Amino acid sequence: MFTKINDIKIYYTFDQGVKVKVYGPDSLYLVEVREYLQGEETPRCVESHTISNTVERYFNIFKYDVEFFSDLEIVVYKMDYDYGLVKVFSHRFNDRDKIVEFKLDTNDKEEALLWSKSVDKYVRLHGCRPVVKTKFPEINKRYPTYFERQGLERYKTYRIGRYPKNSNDYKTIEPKHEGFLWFGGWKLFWSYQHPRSWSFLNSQEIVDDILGL
Amino acid sequence: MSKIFGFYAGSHSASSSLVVDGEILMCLEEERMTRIKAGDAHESFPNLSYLKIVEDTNHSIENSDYRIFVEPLTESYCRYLSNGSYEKLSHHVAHNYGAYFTSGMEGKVLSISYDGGGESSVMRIFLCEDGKMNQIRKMDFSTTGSLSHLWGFTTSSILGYDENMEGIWKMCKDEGKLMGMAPEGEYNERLYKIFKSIIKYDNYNFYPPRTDQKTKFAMDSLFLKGHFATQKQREDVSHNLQLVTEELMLQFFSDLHRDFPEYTKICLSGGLFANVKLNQKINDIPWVQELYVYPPMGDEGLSLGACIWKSVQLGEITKPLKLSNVSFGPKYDEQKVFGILEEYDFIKSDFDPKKIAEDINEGKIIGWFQGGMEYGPRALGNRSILVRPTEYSTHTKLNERLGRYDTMPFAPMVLSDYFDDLFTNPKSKYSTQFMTICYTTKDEWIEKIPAVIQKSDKTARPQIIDEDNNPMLFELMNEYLKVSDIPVLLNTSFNIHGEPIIENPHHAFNHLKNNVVDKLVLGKYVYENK
Repeated sequence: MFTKINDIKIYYTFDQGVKVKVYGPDSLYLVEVREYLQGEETPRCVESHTISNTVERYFNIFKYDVEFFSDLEIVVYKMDYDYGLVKVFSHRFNDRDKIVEFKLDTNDKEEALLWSKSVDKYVRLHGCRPVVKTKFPEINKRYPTYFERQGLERYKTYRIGRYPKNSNDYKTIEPKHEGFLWFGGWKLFWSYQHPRSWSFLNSQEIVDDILGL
Repeated sequence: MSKIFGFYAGSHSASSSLVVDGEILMCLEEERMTRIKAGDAHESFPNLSYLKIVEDTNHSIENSDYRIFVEPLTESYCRYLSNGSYEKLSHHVAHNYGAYFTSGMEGKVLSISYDGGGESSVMRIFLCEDGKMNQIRKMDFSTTGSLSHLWGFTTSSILGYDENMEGIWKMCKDEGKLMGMAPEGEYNERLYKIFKSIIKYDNYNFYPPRTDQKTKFAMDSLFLKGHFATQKQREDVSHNLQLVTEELMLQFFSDLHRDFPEYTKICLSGGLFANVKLNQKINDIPWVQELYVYPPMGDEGLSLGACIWKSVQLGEITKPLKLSNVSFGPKYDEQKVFGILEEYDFIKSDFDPKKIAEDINEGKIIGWFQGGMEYGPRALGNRSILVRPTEYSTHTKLNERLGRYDTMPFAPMVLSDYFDDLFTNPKSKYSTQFMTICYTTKDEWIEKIPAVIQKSDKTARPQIIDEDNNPMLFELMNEYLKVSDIPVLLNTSFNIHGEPIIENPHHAFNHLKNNVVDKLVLGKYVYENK
């Protein structure tokens, strides 16, 4: 998605992790991702860093590799040298009427079917337009295919499965030895009940965890 | 009888501690052994400090009863060092147990820890009484901002970056230099507003969260715009940062007093309270009866906090201890020193306090190496450099010898009987044994001891010396008093700039050899170059 606020252009997406790029007259912008926990009206900040298109030591894109459901909000700040940090943009996750893809990564047909029922529940709750892909054509054909066309941007893609974590873990934990559900960053301490060790979850719990149901 | 090892591992300021049957046997920071300052090693593990404790005490993991690791921790390292059997302890619980149970305080006590984040929180508050601690608040990293972040990231931005994109000054290392600049600067409304846009305070809530990245963003923006180009600009940044820090913390303490008016004794821990000028403001609050700052207030103090926590659980420590010193590091007896000395060629003579006092009075720089090394960031008279405080030129001379920055104030050691003559606030003398609070100097002393006073705000960071906590130094200071009429010595840590405080006689002898000091008093002998 793309928006323009005065002379600042902002590109952002939640698909395959949050990504934000900012183009504007300032050298630096601060991008923050916040999360609204269930039952809380004040969001919690889960990741934040400075980006720049002109200063070499900074990345030019903000990334936060969370792929499960989270009620996230993207915030962009600029620096006003008379007042300090000033918020210039915010957008809270809302996939109503947007294309959302669900990849059900299992070789077990019964499990894929079970997961697809949770996908249906998610679609009803969120009002999104689903693209569902499994290894089983008879399940896939239950869903419309007209959103699958090339060039149609996904607002969000969910990969539902059992994923080992193999990199980027924060040094104080060792999730790669524990078999955590797919997650990103090191802020596991507070983020929407994630990650949980899939070793102890059944199929239903796995899909509900990832979709936040 | 329980043997308890405590460790802090995997982050900056790794350390090891050993407590046996409620008695603190040894505590040691890893930086003193690796010779790499904690702020330069953000992923350090306490291997050498542990081995030194084994060597000096003959206690080891194998014959210990409990092994406590403080969070954040690295599980694989804990398993490796402890042979698989260990307990974890929350970061801020360790801070608070370390502080309260070494405070010597009786009755109702507030214990507060505040830093840049350990496990998931940046602050915890405990109500303490008669050896019992009751946590009343825990401020999470995800919802709470930290003033420590403002200091850390301003420090790392203010002089710009090296070729590896690392700050010239480093967080967890150089904040003291920034604080030392604060009194030299002036109020600047724009800077003040910028800091207030990063962090605010209301009713126990420091907000918004992620002040680490917000500070980095703001400071880097200022740096790129050239706002840190001159020393005056940097001093103004520091001044306004100190101002905001003090303002918010005084509001916080005001709220604490509103809700817990019967708690008038306070003990503090966590990196924020390395800020001795902030501690002075807290100590100056009229309702504060006594303030105690945990001597190893930063994360280096966590390993002892862990041991104390377990000792309290086991009933081996039941009430706050009163420490006569924090010399819990390695000691070197004459035999060990004699073995090391063979590698050097010095003139050796017996220690005569009168002669050394005269040397100091003449302006000589004396290395002072005695007993166990200090635990925590301050040299408190066991690994110290002693100089006369009476000449401001001493400041320049010492800076040249040690490669230090001019703005960093040196600290005075004061004979206990004279403390009230020199300083305006008589409170919290126990904490001044550990040099953790600034005091305002009385006008009549400012010209007498200019080398240890920050000229612009008349403050000093005194350490009380008495016969009990350091008899040899007490004797020397009394001799110096006789020849100079001054009950004060300048004390600075025995190390050159960028180096951790010296640990063993080799380090001391090398500094003598390289003329960092004019004479070295080590044990009962004085050494000087031929």
